[in-house]
Parts: sequence; structure tokens; C-alpha cells
Amino acid sequence: MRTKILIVEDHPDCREVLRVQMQVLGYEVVEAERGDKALERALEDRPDLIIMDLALPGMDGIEATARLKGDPRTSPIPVVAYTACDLEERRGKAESVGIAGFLTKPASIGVFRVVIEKALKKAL
Amino acid sequence: MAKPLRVLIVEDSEEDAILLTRELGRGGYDPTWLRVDTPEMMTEAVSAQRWDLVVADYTMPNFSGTRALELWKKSGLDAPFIFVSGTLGEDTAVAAMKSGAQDYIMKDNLKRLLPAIERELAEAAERKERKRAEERIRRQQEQIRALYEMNLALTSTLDLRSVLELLFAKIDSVFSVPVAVTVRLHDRNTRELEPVACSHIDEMEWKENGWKSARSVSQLVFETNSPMVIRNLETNPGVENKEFSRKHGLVSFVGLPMVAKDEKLGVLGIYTKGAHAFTVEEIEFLSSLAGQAALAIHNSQLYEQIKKQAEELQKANRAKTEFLGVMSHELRTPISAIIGYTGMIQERALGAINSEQDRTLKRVTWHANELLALMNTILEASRMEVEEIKAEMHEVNLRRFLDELRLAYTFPLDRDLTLIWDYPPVLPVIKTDSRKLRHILQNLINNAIKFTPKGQVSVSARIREVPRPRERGAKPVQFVEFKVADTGIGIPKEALSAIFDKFQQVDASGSRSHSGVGLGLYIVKKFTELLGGKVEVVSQLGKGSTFVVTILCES
Repeated sequence: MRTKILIVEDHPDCREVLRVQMQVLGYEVVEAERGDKALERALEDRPDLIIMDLALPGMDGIEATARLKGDPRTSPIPVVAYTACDLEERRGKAESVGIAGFLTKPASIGVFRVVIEKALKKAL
Repeated sequence: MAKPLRVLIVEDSEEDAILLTRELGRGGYDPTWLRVDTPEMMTEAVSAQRWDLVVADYTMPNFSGTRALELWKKSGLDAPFIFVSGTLGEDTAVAAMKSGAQDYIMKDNLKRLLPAIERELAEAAERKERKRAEERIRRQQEQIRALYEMNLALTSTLDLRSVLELLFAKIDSVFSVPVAVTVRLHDRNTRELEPVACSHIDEMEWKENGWKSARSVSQLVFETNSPMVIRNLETNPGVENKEFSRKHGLVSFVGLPMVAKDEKLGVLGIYTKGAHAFTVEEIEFLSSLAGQAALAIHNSQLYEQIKKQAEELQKANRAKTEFLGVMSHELRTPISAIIGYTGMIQERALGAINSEQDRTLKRVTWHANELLALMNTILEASRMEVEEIKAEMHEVNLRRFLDELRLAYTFPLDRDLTLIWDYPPVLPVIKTDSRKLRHILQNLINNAIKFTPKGQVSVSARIREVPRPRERGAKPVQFVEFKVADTGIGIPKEALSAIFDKFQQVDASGSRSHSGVGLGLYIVKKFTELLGGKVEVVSQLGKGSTFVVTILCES
């Protein structure tokens, strides 16, 4: 079975690029454009890994991650933060809610491959 | 004119007493006298009024001279005590003198009485004067100490309340009469003297209404910058709210200007409970004290002001940080899209492209990455201005760190340039801030690529060991040495020393054949220092440059 990645990203162009990047890497892709939708998708689609934008309207990526980690049904899924804003404070917050990796936009396909493979291996 | 003299006569014979007073009258005194001949009467007389002189018989039926002397001594009063007796023998006279009588006179030799009294009164006056002088010295010392302590407070406290409390305590300690002290300070905004603090009267009550009692006089003190005394608040027409001073028994008032460094700060007010004539000495002392307190208050006001400014600055900085966060997001999002979409086509995700199209897309990617690197540098430098950058030390697997760094350079270079990575397969785990270290190395590598039109850029890492001096058998100190060497255009000798300065660019004045803003190496230096390391450069014009970053393996 193909590895399934959930992309959480509100910006349509960023989402499209991410989708294609994941497809090039050979992953199956599901998408959510908001934090609350991400929780639904995570429960329904059971992804192997989540790529999470942090600056989301409404429930932001940090809160969404905290909720995913707080639910035993979704807590084992590794979450990789992917953000355009790399302030130390934000990074520290993300680390405190239990993210598996932190990537600053833009990341190349090569970087994604390494980070995703590492996170998946760790989650096993 | 006859000198008044209050004489207490301890004598059982009224006749002898009269004889005695007549003798005093002859000597130019106008005696007011009382005769006592029992211990009870004596005790009562002593407590009833002050006496200038005690004259006592030695032997009496119901009393004795020695007992009278005892009672006199016990009272603690200081007027001369003289025995006048018909029966005093030499031995008893000596015993009497020893027990503290000033003199003894035989009744049959009364002409000795007057000179004896004169002498003793003079001595008593002298004793009294000495005592007063001693008291004055003691008070002066107390005042000096008060000023000294006020001075200490100047340098040790910046809190207005503590300064005022010390001021109140010091005034209490030097005044023998009960006082109430008030402080009014000039408010720059309202341009009025505002009641600030007081002692020995209810502060709430004073601030609400009582402060009006000496308002106009305080205003005058403030304006004329000189002390002003009101002998009686009740009768002075300038005093408002007389009810307040009446209620608290405040009678006299002195107001003193509080001036520090030529700036009028306010007015110190002293009320006495009961009438008091302020002496020149007191006013001088209070003026010095007011001056000292004013300086301390001035300092505390400055401190408050600076504190407030610092808070505002912090708030402004906070806003800047937030702005940087937004900028960071807003700049990266579109450039991510550009790089992402371009990559998408290059990866043939949208179908086949020809080699000419591929070459063009490589140029797009190259310039977009340039722009991204430039943005990152500017954001990082701005952040260094706004917040204190701290190193966040954690364990870093050097080998994995370099593998990941290398990954960021998998994009194709646009020219005939080889990027060589050279580090041993086994490297230690070190304690450092990997994000900062990554930033340092990326900056150096990007620079090397930028300034090397053709040839090679090599990135290497090595562990170096230096034996610890004077410690035999101890493990050597381990360093990791990163080297970024290129075969590029090199740096002219005269530019080398300033190369790590902010906004310094070798090519700044010339043709600007190379882009950049001159912040990259500035950040490299700052970050390297933050990690407890150093960065050095050697370069030869036309041959290339080598940057070496050395950091300790352990911290």
C-alpha cells in the first residue's frame, strides 16, 4: 500500500505545489485547508504522516497538532511543520506540542524526501 | 535692681529663715522663699516648682539636713545646696560636702553666705550652659548623621516611597517637639504642587482636604525658592482650612523649597504640634535635608522615567518582532510558490520539456534561490536588531547535520563549478545550536558560490585536538573546524579587516558586479561568537578565499 500524506495548507498555490511534490515522491495525497478540517481528515483517512502549515486561519497549526497529539487515535501520526514564518518563538511552541520535524518554506523535493522518510522510520 | 531668687529653706526656725532672707536681701537679691521642716513638705515643694537655691539647717527635730540633701539629690535638680548650721562640726561638714552639698556656713558666720551663694549660682549657671552646649553638640551630630544617611539613600535607593520614609524618620529623630511632615511635589502636567506624602497625620485625610491648609504659603515657598515660617496657623490670614490644623493641634509651620540641580521639585512642610519658634539653626538643617531629599527624589523620578521609556521601547520592539514575523511569512509565501511551481515543471510533473526550456527554468530557480537567501539574510539581521539572539544549545550529531546541510545544495549550479564535500564518516556528537551553525555555513557556502565564477568550492569539517596545558593525562580539548574554500575572485588585502562589519561590501563603491547587501558575513561573525567560536579568513586576490570557523566540541 502506498504511503498516505495529509497536507494541511490554506494557501491554494502552496497546496498545489506541495501536492505535486508529494506525488513526484510517489505518495498518495489527501488535503485539508484548515485546522479543524485536518482533524476530521486525520480520523477518516488515517494518513501515515501529516505536513502542517502553522499559520492557518481559525485553529492554527500548533493547536491542530496539539489536538492530534491529544487524541489517542491520531497521536501516533507524525506531524511535520512546514511554515513561512521561522521565528524562534513559533518554532519552540511547535516543538513543545510534539512535532516530528520543522521545515521552512520553500523546501525542495530532496529535503522533503529525507525528512519524511526519517519521520516515518521513527514512527514505526 | 534686686535679682529674683527662688530659695527653698529647710529650717525648723521661722526666725532663722527670716534672718537668712534678710541677709539675701542685703546682698542684692529679691528672694521668693518657702520654709519646710519635714520630708513630706520638702518633697512637695521640690515637685511644685523650680528652685534656684536650697539652704538647709543640719539638725532639726523632725528632719535632718542629710536627709534633705538625699531628697534633693533624688529629685535630680541641679541648683546649689548649702548647709547653714549652728552646730556643724568639722567632721560632719566634711561628710556633708562629700555627700554632695556645695558648701556649709556656720550661723555665726553668715557673712560668708553671700559670696558662697554667688559662687555657687555662677557655677550652677555654668553647669547649665555646659549641659546646653553638650545638648546642642549632640543635636548637631544627630543632624549630621541625618544628612549623611540621607546622602547614603541618594546612592542606594531609587524608590520614591523609601526616600520619603527616610526623610520623615530623620526629621523625627532631630526634633524634640512633636511634628507632622508633609511633602508636596510639582507635577509637570498639572503645573501644580500636588500633595504626595505626610507623616504623623492621616495621609488620606491630608490628601483629600488637609493639604489646602498651607497651600498658598507652600506655593509662595515654591515660587520664591526660600523658606517661610508661620508662627500661628490659627491667626495667619493666608492659611486656608484652619479646621484641619485646629483638629490636629498643629500650630506653627515652616515650608522649605526642595530643589535639585537647579530644578524646583516641591516643598517640604513641617508642622509642630504646639507653638514653636523655629531657630535659624533648625531652618538651616531642614533646608539641607530638603535639598538632599530633593536630589534623591530627582534620581527616583529619573529612574521612573527611564523605566517607563524602557517599557515603551520593549513594546515597540515587540511590535517590530511581530512585523518581522508577518514580513517573513508574506515574503516567503510567494517565493515558495515560484520555486515550487518551477520545480514542478522541472521535475516533468506537467509533462516533457525540451533542454532549452529546462535551462531557462534553471535560471529562474537560481535567481529565486538568490532572492530567498537575500531575504533570509535581511530578516535575520533585522531580527538581531530587535531581539537579543540567544544560542539554544542541544546535542547535534555532526555527521547527520552535515548530511542534511549537503542536501540543501542538490539543486544544479548554473556554471562550471564543482561543490566538494569533505568530512570523515565518523564525527562526534557536539553541543551547539544547529540552526545558527547551519546559518553560518550556508552563508559562507553561498558567498563562495557567488564569488567563484569558475572552479570549485570545497566544504570540509575536521576534528582538531589541542592538549590541555599543565594538566597531565587530561583529555585534550576538542575543536571542530569547518572550512569553506573557493577558487574565486578573492578579497583585496585592504578590505579584509572590515569584511565582517555590517553593510560592508568589497565591491560597494565600484561597479556592483556582485549583488548583496553586506549583511551575510556580519551575521556569520555574530553567530559564531554566540556559539563560543571564531571565524577567520585568508584570501588571495584572483586565487580565492578560505573561511575557517572553529567551535569547541564541548561547552
